[in-house]
Parts: sequence; C-alpha cells; structure tokens
Amino acid sequence: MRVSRKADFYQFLHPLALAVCLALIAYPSDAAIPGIEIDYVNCDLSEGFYFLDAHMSVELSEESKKALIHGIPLRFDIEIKIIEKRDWLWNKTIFSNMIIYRLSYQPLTNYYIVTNISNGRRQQFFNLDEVLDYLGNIENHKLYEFGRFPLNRNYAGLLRARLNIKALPTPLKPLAYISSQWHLASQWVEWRLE
Amino acid sequence: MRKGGQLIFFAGIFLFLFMLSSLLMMSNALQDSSHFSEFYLGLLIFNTLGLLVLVVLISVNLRRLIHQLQKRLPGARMTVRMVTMFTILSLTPVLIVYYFSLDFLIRGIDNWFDLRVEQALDDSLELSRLSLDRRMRELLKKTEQAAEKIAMTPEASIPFDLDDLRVQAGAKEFTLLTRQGGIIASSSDDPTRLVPERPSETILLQLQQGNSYAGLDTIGNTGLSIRIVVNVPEANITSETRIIQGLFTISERINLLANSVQNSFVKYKELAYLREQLKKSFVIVLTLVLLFSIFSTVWAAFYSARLLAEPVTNLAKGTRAVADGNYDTRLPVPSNDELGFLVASFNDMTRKIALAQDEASRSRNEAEIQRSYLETVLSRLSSGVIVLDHNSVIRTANENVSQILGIPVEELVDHSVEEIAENHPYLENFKKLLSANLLSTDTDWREQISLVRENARSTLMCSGTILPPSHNILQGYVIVIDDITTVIQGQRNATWSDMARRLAHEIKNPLTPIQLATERLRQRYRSGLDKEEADKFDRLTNTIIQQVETMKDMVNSFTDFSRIPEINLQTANINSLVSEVVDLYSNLNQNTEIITKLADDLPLISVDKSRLRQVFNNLIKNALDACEKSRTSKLEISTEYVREKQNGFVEIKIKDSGMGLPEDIMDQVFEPYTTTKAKGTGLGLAIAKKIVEEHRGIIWVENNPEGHGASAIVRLPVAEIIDQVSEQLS
Repeated sequence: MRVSRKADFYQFLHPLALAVCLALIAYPSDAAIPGIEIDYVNCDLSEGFYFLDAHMSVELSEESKKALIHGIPLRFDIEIKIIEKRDWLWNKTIFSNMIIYRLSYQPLTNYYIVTNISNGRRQQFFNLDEVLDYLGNIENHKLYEFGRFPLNRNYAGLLRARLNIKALPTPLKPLAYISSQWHLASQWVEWRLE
Repeated sequence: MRKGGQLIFFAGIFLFLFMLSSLLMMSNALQDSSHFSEFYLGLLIFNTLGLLVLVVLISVNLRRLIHQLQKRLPGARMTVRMVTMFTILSLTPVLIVYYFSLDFLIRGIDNWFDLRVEQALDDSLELSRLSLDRRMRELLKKTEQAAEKIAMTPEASIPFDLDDLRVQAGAKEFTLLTRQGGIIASSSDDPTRLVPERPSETILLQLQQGNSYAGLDTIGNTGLSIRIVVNVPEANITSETRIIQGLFTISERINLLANSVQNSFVKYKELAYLREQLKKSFVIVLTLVLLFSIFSTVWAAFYSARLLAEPVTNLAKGTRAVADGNYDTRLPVPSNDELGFLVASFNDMTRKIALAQDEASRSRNEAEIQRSYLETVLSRLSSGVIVLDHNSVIRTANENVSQILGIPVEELVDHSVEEIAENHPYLENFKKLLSANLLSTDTDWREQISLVRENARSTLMCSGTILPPSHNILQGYVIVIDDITTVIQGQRNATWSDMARRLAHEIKNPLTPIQLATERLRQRYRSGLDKEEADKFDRLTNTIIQQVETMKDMVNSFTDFSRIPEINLQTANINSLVSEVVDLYSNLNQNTEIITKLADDLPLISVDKSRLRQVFNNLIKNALDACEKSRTSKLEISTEYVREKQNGFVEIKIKDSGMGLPEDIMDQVFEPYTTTKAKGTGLGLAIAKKIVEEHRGIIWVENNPEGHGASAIVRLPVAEIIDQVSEQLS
C-alpha cells in the first residue's frame, strides 16, 4: 500500500525549511522531535472485512510528559476516514471511525495506564516508551465489510492521529492552543483503498 | 432618540448581556471543568471580540467627541466633563476591587499548595506503598514456598495440589505457566472464572531473566490486586522451566484507602502543575471582567452623556437659532423632569416671541402701508407739507414742497431751515415766518408770505401746527404750504372781469345815445352857425364822438377781458399763425426790422387759432410799441420745440429792442391796467395771459440779458406728450 501525504501542506514548509534545519542542528541528533509521524498504513481485505494496520512514531513533548507525570491524563484520537473522490463535487466521507486512547499515570504503582475508550480495554506499562509504542501500533483494526459500498467508485482512506487539546483541563487549554508543546498531531495521510 | 441611536443602544445592551453571560460561563468552567469547559476557548475569543467591539464603539464616540470639540459644537465640552466624571467615578472602585481580588486570588491559590500539605501527601503515598510492599513481600514468600512445593509435585497431581496451595497461600488465583506464558494449570476461588489472568510480556521477560515479579495490578473492575510471579525451581535438568503466578486480593478497606490516597495525590499534583495556568486563567477572566466593566462603563458614560447633553445641545442650538431670528424653532421635550420643563419653557418662549414678532411685523407692515398711503396722499396733495423737528430740521417733505419752493426734496430733508435759506436767499421770508412762529406759543398758526424767485412772485399760504413727541422727534411741527398765487391771480382776474363787465354795461349803454345825440346835435345846429362857430362846433362834437369811440373801444376791450372763454380747438402749425401775424405787421410798420426764426421741427398742436392770433397780435403790438422809443427798432420772433423732463412745449419768443421793463413791475405786467405806455388799456398782456392759460400754457416776460429790450415768451404744451404723460400717471 502506497503512502502519500497531502501535498497542500508541503507548500507551507518551504518558508520554514531554514528554521527546521537550524533546529535539527541545535538539537542532539538522538533527540526525538515531539510529534506524531505516520510511518505506514496498510489496509487488507480478509475474511470479507477490511482490516487496517498502521505504525506511528509518537513522541511526547517535555511539557506533555511533565503534565502526565503530574496526573493530567492525555487523550489521543486516531481518526480514520474513507472518502469517495468525486470529479466535480467535493469529496464525500462515506465511513469514519475513531480510536480514542486515554493515557494516565498511576503514582502509587508507577504504572502508565492506557485505556481504549472505544472498547474499555486497559493496559498498564512500566515505562513511557512502551506506552508510546503501544499507542503507535494499529493491528488488524476492523473497518467495514466488503461490499458495503459500491465497488465501481474511487475510494481513498485517510488517517490522522493527534493529542486532543479539548480534553485537557480547562486552565491548561488557552496555553495548549497557542503552545507548540501541545500541538502533537500528524498530517492526514491518504492511502488507496483497493 | 433617533432610530440609529436606538439600534446602537439595543445592540450595546445585547452585547453587554452576552458578554456578561459568557464571563459567567468562563468563571463556571474554571471552577468546575464539567460545565462549559468545551466552550472555554470560544468564550474567551467571544469576550475578546466583544471587548474589541466595545473599544471600537468607544473609539467612534471619542472620535466624534474630538470632532465636536474641534468644531466647538455646543454640548461637546459638557460631554467631555460628564464622560470624564463618569469614568473616574466608575473606574476608581472597579480598579480597587480588581487589585484586591487579584491579590487575594493569587495568594489564595498559592496558599492551597502548602509545603506541609504536599509533604503529607507524599508521605501518605509512600506509606501506602510501604504497606503494600510489605504485604507483597509476604505474599512473594508464600508464592515462592508454593513454587518450591510445585517443583516437588509430580506432573499428574499438580492440578489437585495447586488448589490446596492456593488455599494455603490465601490467593485468589494460582496459575502455573510455561516461561512463554502457556497455561499449564490454574486454580481460582471464583468457579465462574474460566480463563485465568495472564501476565504481560514484560513480566514474562522479567521472569525469563530469573527475577520474580511482585506488583499491584488493576485486574478487571475489582480494584487493586497483588500480582506475584515467580519461577518454579527446576526439579531436574530435563524438566521444563515453569512459572507460577499468584493473584491476591487486597482488603476492601486498604483498597479504598490506597485509592483515596492516590486520587488525592494525583489531584494535588494536577492542581500544583496547573497552579500557574490556573492563576493565569483567573487573571485573564478577572482582567476580562475588569476591561468589560471599564469599557461598558465608558461606553455607557458616552451614551448617558450624550443623552443628557442632547437637550442642552438642542437648547444651545435653539438659542442660537432664536438669536439669528428663527423664532419657529421648537425643541423635542426630552422627559418630564426639570430639563424637560426647561425645554418646554424655551418652546413656549420662542412661540411667544414668534407671535410678538408676527405682531410687530404686521404692525410694521400696517405702518408701512399707512406711510405709503400718507405719502401717496401727500404726493397727490396740491399743498406742500413739511415736518420739522425741534431743531427746525426738515424730517419729511413731499414733492409739492420742492415744486412750490423750487428746491429738490433731497436738499430739504435733513437740513435745517436756516441752511436752506442760506443756500436759497429768496426763502428769507419763509425762514423768518417759521422762526417767528416756531418760537411762539401758539399751537396753530396761519400766515401768507410772498417769495420772489427768478423775477416771479409767488404767494404762499403757510399754516403750521405742533406735533406731539414721537419715537424719533421730541417735538415737531407740521407746516402746510399752499401756492395761492394762481388763486389770488384768479380772484383778481375775476374781480377785474366783474368790474370790467359792470363798467362795460354801465358805460357802453349811455355811450351810443351820447354819440347819436352828438351827431344829431351837430347836424341840427351846425347849419345855423357861422363858419368859425361851425368849425368850433365840429371840433367839439368830433371830440365828443371821438372820445365816445375811444370809450367804446375801451369798453369792448373790457368786454373781451371779461368774456367767458369758449375755445374752439383745432390742430394748427404755430409757425403758420406766427407768420400770418408777422406779415400783417411787416406791411403796416416799415420802420421796424422784424426777424423771424421759425423752427422746422415744431409739432402740430391743438389751439384756438383766432384767440392765439390775438395773443401774438397783442405781444407783437406791445413789442413794436416798446421799440418806438429806441433808436434801433428791431423785433425778433422765434419758435422752438422745447423738452423739459417728460414734457414738450412749443415756445414762441418775441424779443424787442426797446427799453426793457422796470424790475418793480416785472411781476405785475400781466395784471389788468398795468402799462408803461401813455395810450392803451393795460389789458393786452392780461388778455394774452388769460388766453395762454386757457390753452394750459404759460407766459412770462423777462428783460434781455444783453441789456436792452425785453422778451415775451409763450410756452404751449404739446398735446401728444401730455396724453402720454397722463396715461403713465393713470
């Protein structure tokens, strides 16, 4: 499955190219840049259903880590959309799905608790890297059954993951909206649906 | 209030209410995130935009106020004072409250996070951990003992022994697994639990490294449990490496306390982390409330000041309009208070002023009409009227005065009688008359005076009366002047005519018998007389008859003078008439040189030819008689068309070369029986004047300017021009 990013966003990167290069030089080479990057997306048809596999590199900012350690839960939204591309009209969303994770820290046990809001499943982890690895992996996520939509149309899938700022405590929201430390989100990544 | 103003007012009220509501919602969102927290940012943006709108409103009002100040419009400075006063009065308490609220708020938030509280919470959490660690260590020991027993137990009896071991250890669940996590056997106190809880990959990895695992796990919805995982000692080299996992419940009380401690700790840590943000948020909200209060107050101050200043501004404009003479100004009454009473009083005042102005205007118009009427009456009067003030300065004079006195009205009005008399000496008698009478105490007087102007004597009847003081004259006099020259002349002529008629009647009747008797006497008694006596008798009777003839001629002249005129007007050329008469005298009198200068452009006029011939006859005869005494006998007769103002005249001038007329009789030459000749009745010029006046003409005599001789001048009006003038006058 070929992965492509929306070309529209690239045009905004050119003015910032120098700043990004300087930032890369300034930071240690092994320091991960806070944010979410979608590495690959794969959608397979199996047993009459479409299943999604994806891998994302999730890196928290220092501020978000600090907030997490101080007991503020973080919410990650992974949005999945299937759109129908139309020549003369705007694209039509025919299917949408969202995986919501709630990440919190338990000081008594020193565990990180990840709760899938969609299905209520809880996972606890010793360290944060395990948590982020868990959050970045989507395996065999069932989308919809084959034949639900007409086959002779041009469909495409979109995937995006982001930290939901709206779910932060109210006093933190104004700062979160204007601070880059809290803007942890990937671009929409499109894949062809076959 | 104007429609635009109402719209802005209601928009402002809506904005105020919305912003107030949104600020309350923001405050609620900060206090309890379950309310309005989703809208917090929207509310923040909305309030910021609302403040911007208020700033724009205030800026617009401020700009308008500056513009009004620059233009010095009424009410602008009052608005500035009121806005300043309102703003200061409202700002002072709001700023004080803001300062102390901010101080209390920041101090209050800081006080929440007392170090002792934080330490206590840390200690509580640590205590909980230690307590649970101790329990976990005990359970680890029990599980390790159970593992040792399992190691000694044959494979076949493990499922049975595992149950006993679980009961002995007091575990909720015992599970025997392979190192890879495969379940070998399991024992649980819950018979409904079919699938045992598996340890995570991390735990398995830890076990594979030879370590045991003891930790608190949240399993299902049962709260905290203790998970112990240990390796089962290997019974022999060939046996498979196994692990045993024991799940132990924690008492409900401990579970509750541990959760409580953890929740409090988490909440405290969260608040501690959010402390600065919380302070910033409260400061933001409080500042928004402050700015909202200030901007609302300032805007309300502008609005209120404008409302309060509007009636005053209107009053100022109204007063200015009244000062400019616009008395129809009516102001809207703002309310039922003192200001409204003031505006109503102003409206009442302007209405009364307008009524008074209308009344004054009406009176002025009436006075103007009266004045015009009076002027018309005065101008139509044959009498001259002048009004003098107490300094003998003429204030008013009608046109007839100028005609009577021979001075334009402009030279009369605003000049004293003394000044006028100095410039016109012939008015000396007039000045003396006025001076004498104005000084007297008589209120009414009447006197006749004579003025001699340009060889013409005119008789004036002057009557005067005192005017009561008026607005511009302290005490005045009104003088009525009548030119009675013509009247007196007429009266004199009438007297003479009457006397002539009586004389003619009384004298002519006996003359014929006298003449007849004389002729009969001469015929009867002449023959009886000798020649000498007869000659003497003839001479005497002839003398009687001749004298009787002379008396008859005189009586005929009297008859002609006294005869009532019967004019037979015919269109005639004056030159022809003059030529006829001149030809007659040219033939009769050869000794006198008669020169005629007749104008070619004379218009035809309507005259009684026979009577006009008599006029020319009398005048030429008089002229010839005057020339008899002089050495050079010369008579010059000329005609001319004269235009004066809008009147046209045919002027006939008979100029002689005689001795001229004495100045003392110059004004009496046209009176009957006035003559310088030895012979003559003295009626020639009187008859000529009478005939000329019957033709609406004028006649006068003057001595020639070159020093010898006199001229008689006749002016006859041209009928066409007279008609045109009469049409214009009508």
